[in-house]
Amino acid sequence: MTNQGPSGYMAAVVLAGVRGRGSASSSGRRRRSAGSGSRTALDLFEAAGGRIVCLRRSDAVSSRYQAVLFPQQIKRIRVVQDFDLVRFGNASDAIYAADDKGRRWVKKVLMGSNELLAEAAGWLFSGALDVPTADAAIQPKGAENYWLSGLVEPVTHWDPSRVPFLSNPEGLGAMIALDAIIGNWDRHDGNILVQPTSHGHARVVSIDVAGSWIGTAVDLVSHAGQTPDVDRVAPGIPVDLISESALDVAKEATKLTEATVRRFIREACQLARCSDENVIRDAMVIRCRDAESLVTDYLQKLEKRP
Amino acid sequence: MRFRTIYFLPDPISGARVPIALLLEDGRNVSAIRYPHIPGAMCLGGVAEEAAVEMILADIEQRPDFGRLPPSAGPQAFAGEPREVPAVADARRWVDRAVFGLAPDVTSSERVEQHAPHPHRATMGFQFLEKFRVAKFVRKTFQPGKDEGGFLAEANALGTISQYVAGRTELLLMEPILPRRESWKADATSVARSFGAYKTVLRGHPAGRKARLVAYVVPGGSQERRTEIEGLLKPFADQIVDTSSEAARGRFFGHIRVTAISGGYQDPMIQ
Repeated sequence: MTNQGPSGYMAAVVLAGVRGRGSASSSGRRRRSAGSGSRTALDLFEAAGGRIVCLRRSDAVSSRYQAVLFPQQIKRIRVVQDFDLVRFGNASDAIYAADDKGRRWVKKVLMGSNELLAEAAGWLFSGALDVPTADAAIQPKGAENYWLSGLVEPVTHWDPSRVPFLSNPEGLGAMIALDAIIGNWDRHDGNILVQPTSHGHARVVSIDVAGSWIGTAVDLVSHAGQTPDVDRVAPGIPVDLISESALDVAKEATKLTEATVRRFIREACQLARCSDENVIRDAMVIRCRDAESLVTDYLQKLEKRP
Repeated sequence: MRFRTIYFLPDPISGARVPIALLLEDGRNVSAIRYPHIPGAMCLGGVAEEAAVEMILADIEQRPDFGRLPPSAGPQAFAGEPREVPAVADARRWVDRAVFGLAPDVTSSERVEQHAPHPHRATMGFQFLEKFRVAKFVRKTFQPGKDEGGFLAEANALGTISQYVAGRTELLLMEPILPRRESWKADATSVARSFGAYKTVLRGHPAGRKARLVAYVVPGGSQERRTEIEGLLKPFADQIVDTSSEAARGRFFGHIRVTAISGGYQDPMIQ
């Protein structure tokens, strides 16, 4: 029914033949329940004046349509084969893995429920705000849910010397905006993947937002209106290069509907078995509303760093 | 004396590994030496993998540390166990023969120079300007006597300058320096030589439009290397811009904009 695009876009796939067969006259056709995906898409098709529309997850669509068009977004993968440990500094809690469809993942094995919640919610917001991020999934295993992050290959980590190679500096701006909004204080150089694409060109990819305030209701409430410290943020972030895109993303965040935020937080809380859904949701609705001031404040902090 | 091999993992799942460099510890000195036979894109998995290897090698050369790899090298690079170098007079030569298996009359540095891909300095510099959206003010390759109404025709024999910005009263003649390139020193020396020659011509140039020789050093490389580059260029360049400083590059880009606009540049978007 719906088809997820690579950068946060969802295309409503409409039964193109329906109108052609003359069975979709908007005046004569009886409204059907929202539970049926194809019928709802048809409703949208008509509402859009017979045009096929491309919707972003952040677009204001009534919650009835949201629930059908954008269902649970984090994949559940039951069959996963584990491989070697990821060899990198303190990454001993991560292992390479592959699922039954041959997709490759980095599996995080030591994760508290707050971290899982933060990862899941952070990933959902990343999609809505066009933050370049690795694919994600959950491996349910017994009472545990393991976080799977799509393997990015080949990969290096952030260093200020990467700036001349960046082919998506706006992605770095989006990352910084996301951090300000969800309270991610841990954007160190290992959490900005730099993926070379050819000689002299590389793109940044965001990973690991597990420490973000969004994963813990108390943190979110106690840091209301605040942005994280920048002590741990990777050095040499070119603020002059990314400010504009970061502020664009902030503007996008202000357009996220309450229904969208609710859906993201509900899904993340369900995965992490967290009961603070309402508190986190309310706090995030406010943070999204205030996104422009939060991001501006965060950029200023970064700019003032020695 | 010890050494350890640095490997690249082209495929983390299979665990396959390819030696790409070697760290040699000789007393307090640690040097990074590239493997003379690094497989190309076809064997590593593609151009992206080859570019990743190049990036990792530059990281290691920038900060050679026997104890750990630079964090920027990422999880697809790892260091093997330290091994002893026997008591020999020339450890580097021993490595060339014993570890790399080179013939006695061949050195690894010669081999590396033959094989390493070298992205063009001017192209890389221009890409850097593109990132910061000032490239539109900059023209590629100044040819004395041909560009700008035959300006500086007397410098015709000196060769071209990579980039220029044409202002009403000033012409910025610009050369990028990329400290991460293996040939950074040769690059800096070549630019110094070119600027030195231009400077001589400019001294005798009739009053009027001024030309300004600007070297901009893009981010990357160790501080020592950047300092050395500045030292090499200082006597010959009118201005050396360290673009790793946000303030310095802000001023530089501002100067480019103002100069181009004074020379009649018009943004096609607002015409």
